Amino acid sequence: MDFFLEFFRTTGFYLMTPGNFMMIVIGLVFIALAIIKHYEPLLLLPIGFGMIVGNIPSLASMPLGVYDAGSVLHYIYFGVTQGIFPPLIFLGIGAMTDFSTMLSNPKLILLGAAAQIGIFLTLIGALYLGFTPQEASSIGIIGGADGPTAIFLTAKLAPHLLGAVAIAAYSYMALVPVIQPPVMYLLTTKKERLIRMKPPRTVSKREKILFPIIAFLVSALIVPGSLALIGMLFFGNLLKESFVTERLAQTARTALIDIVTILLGLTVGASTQAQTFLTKQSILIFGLGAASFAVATAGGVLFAKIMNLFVKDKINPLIGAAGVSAVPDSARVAQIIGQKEDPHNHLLMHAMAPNVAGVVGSAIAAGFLWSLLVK
Amino acid sequence: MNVLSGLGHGWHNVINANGLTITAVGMLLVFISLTIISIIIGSTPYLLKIIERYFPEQEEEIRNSGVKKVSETEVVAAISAALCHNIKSSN
Repeated sequence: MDFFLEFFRTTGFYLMTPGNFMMIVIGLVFIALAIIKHYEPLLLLPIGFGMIVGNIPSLASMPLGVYDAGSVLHYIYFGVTQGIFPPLIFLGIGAMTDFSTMLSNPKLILLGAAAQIGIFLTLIGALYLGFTPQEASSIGIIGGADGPTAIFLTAKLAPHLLGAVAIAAYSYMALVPVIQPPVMYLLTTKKERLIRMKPPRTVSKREKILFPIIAFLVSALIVPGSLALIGMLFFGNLLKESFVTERLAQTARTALIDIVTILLGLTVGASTQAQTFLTKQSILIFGLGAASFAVATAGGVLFAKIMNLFVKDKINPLIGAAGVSAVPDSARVAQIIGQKEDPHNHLLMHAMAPNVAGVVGSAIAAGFLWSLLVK
Repeated sequence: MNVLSGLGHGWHNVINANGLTITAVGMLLVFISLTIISIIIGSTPYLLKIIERYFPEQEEEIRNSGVKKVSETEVVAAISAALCHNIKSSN
């Protein structure tokens, strides 16, 4: 009987805290959202399962969790804490992104820049609430709507916030179809939502090849801190557009990005152990994260309206919301809302321009903050 | 970690940490970088036109661009098929 009791004390049932139980329930909700609602299933499912894995309690003497040196999860989590996974994901994104619509209408790039206001206003909000500049930057970058960028910057500046920032960034990316529409409706009139844009011109192969090289040189020379993310993004795109490295591009946009997404999602989820995750800080980070998404959306939409005061070919302000770099969800939201007003208005291809520009913009912002605040 | 402790919360945190300057410079840098990229992209087609006078884009490059060349008859046939399908499904 003593033997049985001794063993029982080592089981998860005995060691489970209410916090662990709550996190497991949240993990199950993530999995349900991924499977039933199809909200970013490629991310929410590994993260949700990771949350369950990370909250199965174990004896302190047994290294099992991501924070326990020597455990398998700890070794995999190394890719997150050292910022290895995010650039690899950017390589895959670059290899699957078609920049044609952006190249055909380069003024739309500015919408991607405007949406980055979400990052910096949230940074001010976080500073106001008492976070350090490093912590505030990591929280602000959630507004970039770019999971890998958020993880990369947080790993460099405020690693103790990694779990909360990553979960907030990915949760809100999944909730883009819920967060963005109210802001878009609020800031646009029906007449503006009905604007039809000129179809994009055909982009030559030479333009597509030159773009990643030029854009990389400009971004990396102005903000060297963005080199790891931007470099991999444009390298991946060059692999795709050159047509001479199709095998490498194929691997980057399929097997490589899938493997890294699995490892990153699972370990980020597992990093949400109740003891470190359920804090007042995390609640504030989630609140600020939601605000940053809304502000970023508003920034893009309002800037499109300002641009319309000066340009001949009017821009549908809905595509400004796609300046937050949740690719391609925010572009899809612009398309859906546009089609609700006019079923024959196809905004998706136009919205992809600010969408991919937003990826570049948020990486530049992250590089700037890293250069400025690294200790 | 000094959340809601130590300094507490308030505008003095923003001022002390140069929050407004970081925001202004950060947004400026993002805009400058993307504006330069935008200008270069905008001028690339004109630049390429000049280059193509001396180094025309080869037929092989066009073939490799992933777009299959089709004849006008094939395009008309595809449009007719789509229209026919559309009419059938709406009936």
